[in-house]
Amino acid sequence: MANLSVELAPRNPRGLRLKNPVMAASGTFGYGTEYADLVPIGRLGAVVCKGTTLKPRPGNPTPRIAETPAGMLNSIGLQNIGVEALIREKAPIWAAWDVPVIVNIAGETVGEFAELAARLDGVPGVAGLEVNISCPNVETGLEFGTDPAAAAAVTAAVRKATSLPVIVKLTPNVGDIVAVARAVEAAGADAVSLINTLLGMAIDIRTRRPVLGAGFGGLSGPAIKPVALRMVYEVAGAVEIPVIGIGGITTAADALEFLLAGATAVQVGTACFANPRAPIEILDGIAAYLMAAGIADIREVIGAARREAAAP
Amino acid sequence: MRLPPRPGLLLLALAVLAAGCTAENWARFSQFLGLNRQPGAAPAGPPVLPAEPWPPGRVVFTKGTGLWVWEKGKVWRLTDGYLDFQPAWSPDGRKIAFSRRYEEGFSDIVVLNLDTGRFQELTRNGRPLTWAFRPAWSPDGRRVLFLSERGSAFLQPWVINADGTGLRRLAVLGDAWGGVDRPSWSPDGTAVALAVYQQSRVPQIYILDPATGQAKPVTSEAEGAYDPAWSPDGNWIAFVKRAQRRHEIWVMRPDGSEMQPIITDGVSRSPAWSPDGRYLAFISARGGTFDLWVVRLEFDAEGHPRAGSIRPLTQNFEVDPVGDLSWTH
Repeated sequence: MANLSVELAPRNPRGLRLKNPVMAASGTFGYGTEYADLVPIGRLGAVVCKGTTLKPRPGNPTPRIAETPAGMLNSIGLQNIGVEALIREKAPIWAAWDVPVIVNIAGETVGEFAELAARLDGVPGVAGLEVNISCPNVETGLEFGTDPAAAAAVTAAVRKATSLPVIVKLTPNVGDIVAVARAVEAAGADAVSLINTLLGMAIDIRTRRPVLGAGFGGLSGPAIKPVALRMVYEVAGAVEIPVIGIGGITTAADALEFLLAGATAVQVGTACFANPRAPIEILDGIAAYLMAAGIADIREVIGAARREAAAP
Repeated sequence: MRLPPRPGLLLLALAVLAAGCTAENWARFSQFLGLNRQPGAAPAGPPVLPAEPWPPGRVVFTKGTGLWVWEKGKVWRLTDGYLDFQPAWSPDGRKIAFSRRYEEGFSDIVVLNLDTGRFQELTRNGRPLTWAFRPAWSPDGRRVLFLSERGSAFLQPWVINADGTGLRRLAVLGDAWGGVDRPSWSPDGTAVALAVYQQSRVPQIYILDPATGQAKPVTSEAEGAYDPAWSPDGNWIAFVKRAQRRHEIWVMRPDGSEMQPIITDGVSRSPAWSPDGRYLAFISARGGTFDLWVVRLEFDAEGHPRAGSIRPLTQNFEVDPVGDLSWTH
């Protein structure tokens, strides 16, 4: 059996070692507890829980989900139980698990992100933070993640508030994603994950109205995989910190493409809706690929497409 | 409707009356009858008389966003309306220092004077984002040590006089990516135990000389050691040791020798000694929620502590697992 373990926060004092590189993505696996009876969660590399805010949020008006060709549009609007309930009710369950749980945090101001990070620092059962910078800053009206300076400000504030590993989740709805990645690395991020959903919409030709209650939504699923792969390839070549690949990963072959492009780990998102066991099946597929290819360590695969591209 | 006779209850009531209805007896009696079923006070399920009296003194802890006090099986709320946590009794038990967080992303050390009911801000951080966590009174009650990341990447030890003057950083410990957590003074005030985090290394417990700022490690645990708490007699440090998914409570001599396990199942954090040194309170998820628990210590002929009886101080009370706790007489 090949060595599948990876380190996602090599320069962090707490570190974030995963026994394999397959994670469940935020927003597609709830708090993990909902799937504990369906999926052998202990086999996953990590679980990223749904986006968490300081106060509980009811989410956006329905409908919140629309199917599209090879993808899905959603505008859930960060429906969640809030950080206090998460610490009270979910963390004691996670603390007994054999899999690290990463809490995805979302704020409307830099201060809210910092407060969330301070609140979660050291909570048993919380192994790290994923910072969702794809939300609008209520103080400026712009998304934090679309401006390198704003993204760096959020990262630095979170960094100051916690010694937990900090992963910054990048949005693809930006001109130069590499500039944002470099900015958050310099501001103290331990890793970056990409991509979040692509902004899209669908219109019902009978009602002549947008299908989603909120109008626009985030596009995910196989439709966005080539875009995500290209961005992961670019970012992995530009930063030193680990990169986590996300975007339409449905099969082990998809996941291997991201690893070859330079991702240290992958997150499986939309595929979980159709099949909650998808991350496990992808993990088994990666292990089978390594065995068939006679590869002893997953790290031989990570970034291999880059090395071969660079060779004469 | 006539209630069926309950001779057992009647006998117990008579026994309590015969014993003299002291406050402690009444607490035990009323708990037996299920009269004080405020959250966290009375056990769920069939009522049982405590096998032994409650430990003496008061424990301050954090639940949700406020401070709470436990005493003799009862709990009450102390602060509300802010984001308060990590309380510490002053040595005379008349003040509580704690960290008050603000949603704008900063926190201050605040002191509640229990004689006057007034709050005093020891630090005034405000913007830009600056944090102050985990206050710890010096044994003479004249200074408060706390942690702040002001001027550093992660938290470092600072000290301030109890009147708000004399703010200064005690030391910079760990590397550029390092920081410290949960300081605890030795009872003679000459040393501070704390956990030190460093890049790509598990945390270890260090002993800091507050006069010189020099520190040296006393643990070298493969999976990490943290949450130190110095015993009131100065002979032991209780701490948490990581073992795979478990957070275990151990004790050791202040030089790191004679390590002994106390609580080795499940997730336990924040051990805090009773003022008489006979108990350790801690936060545990052993019941499925984070709650306060206490272990009575039994000492052998050489004075080595071992775990005696273990019991919950709260049940299904969902206390804050990083809110810390402090015990006074």
